[in-house]
Amino acid sequence: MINKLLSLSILLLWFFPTRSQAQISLQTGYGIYKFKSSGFEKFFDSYNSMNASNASELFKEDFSNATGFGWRIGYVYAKEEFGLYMNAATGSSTYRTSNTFTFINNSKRELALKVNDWSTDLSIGIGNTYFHIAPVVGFYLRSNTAYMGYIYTDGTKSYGLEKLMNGIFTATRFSGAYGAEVGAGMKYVNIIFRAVRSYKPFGYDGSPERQDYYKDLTDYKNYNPNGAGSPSSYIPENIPFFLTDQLASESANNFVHLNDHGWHYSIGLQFNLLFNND
Amino acid sequence: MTKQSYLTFLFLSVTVLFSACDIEDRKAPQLYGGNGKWEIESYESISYDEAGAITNKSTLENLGYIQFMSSESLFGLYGYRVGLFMKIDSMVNNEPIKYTGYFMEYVYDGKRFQIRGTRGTIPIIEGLYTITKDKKNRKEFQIITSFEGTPVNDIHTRAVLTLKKM
Repeated sequence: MINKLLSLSILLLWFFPTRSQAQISLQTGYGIYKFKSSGFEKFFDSYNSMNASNASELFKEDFSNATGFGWRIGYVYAKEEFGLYMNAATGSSTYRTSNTFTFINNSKRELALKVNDWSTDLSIGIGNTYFHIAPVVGFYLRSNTAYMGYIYTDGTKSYGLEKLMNGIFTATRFSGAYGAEVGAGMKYVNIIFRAVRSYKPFGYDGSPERQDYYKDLTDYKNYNPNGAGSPSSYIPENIPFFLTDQLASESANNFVHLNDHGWHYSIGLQFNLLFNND
Repeated sequence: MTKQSYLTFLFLSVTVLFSACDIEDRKAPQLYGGNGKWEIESYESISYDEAGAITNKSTLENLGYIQFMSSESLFGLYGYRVGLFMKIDSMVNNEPIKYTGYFMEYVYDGKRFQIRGTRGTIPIIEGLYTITKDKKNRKEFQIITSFEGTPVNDIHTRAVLTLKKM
């Protein structure tokens, strides 16, 4: 999947104009991802309801804003004089966030989330080599990892099999994005501000056959009988249901799917390399 | 084709190759790299009471060594590779040295490490560990070996396995 997307990215860059004011650009910056994830909201709510009487601090309703760094490489078309501005770029960014439930004896259930995006987008607007403003459209290949650990009273952190919910779970989906960017600065370096919204993944139908729900990285748990009481190889939305009957839980599609979406705000620098101004 | 196109193609090709590898495949060379031999420096077991205070502590040493190999096991699809665990008992009370070997498989994803026997259970060290120290020549893994009680009133035993590159 990722190979096909990147091949598409390469083709896009191939046909982009390479004469005159075209140049390779390299962007790097810091971003905030303000997102909603209905699946994790249900998981947090379910966990809080189950353990409310033993709680010192409940899970927050959802993850707090994720933050992280990213980079992109692409072709920019811009002139010294004001006019058409185009930028086709592809790159990667990683955002992190976490949510913690604390028991009254100070042991903790921690869920950390890493959001990895490979994005390819196109900006077409107005500007020159010093300033531009442009709407952005593109798509994301999103690959998330959820680290579900338990922290004991002595500080030991475990992803082991002794707790049913422990594990490291991944999910991958493809989604679109739209937004805008503004850049200003000098000829070879611009400060870029971007606001891009990724929307709900394409083709989300919630069917259990699809590989878009959070699954454990390996078959660590396959050696355990898949009956009541065995560790989970996925993150359930409804925990009591999962604990009561795991097979029925799977049949009922009781999985947390990758369906987060929201606004990405980033600020960074754009370096214009191999500038050709003939 | 322009110079820019060549550079872009090279950069993205390297990225594609890197992205295509599973994390277990990227991490495993840290164990099987070089001669792949790691001494089990120590195996420390620590028990805690409900308040998190230590109630018992013991350490086992000279347990032997592990030979990690790059070959995939039957579960290679999931990143498992084969290895050999060799337990060497030194001379005790003038008794001869004993060698005990176990075929094993392992997987290592940067956060967790699992070792298990392919023909029977490896005593003491078999299990799914959480990685706590990940140095080039020394690895430390921990595992909860027993757990009783409730989340707010638990008694547990933690074991720490330390490997040192030979």
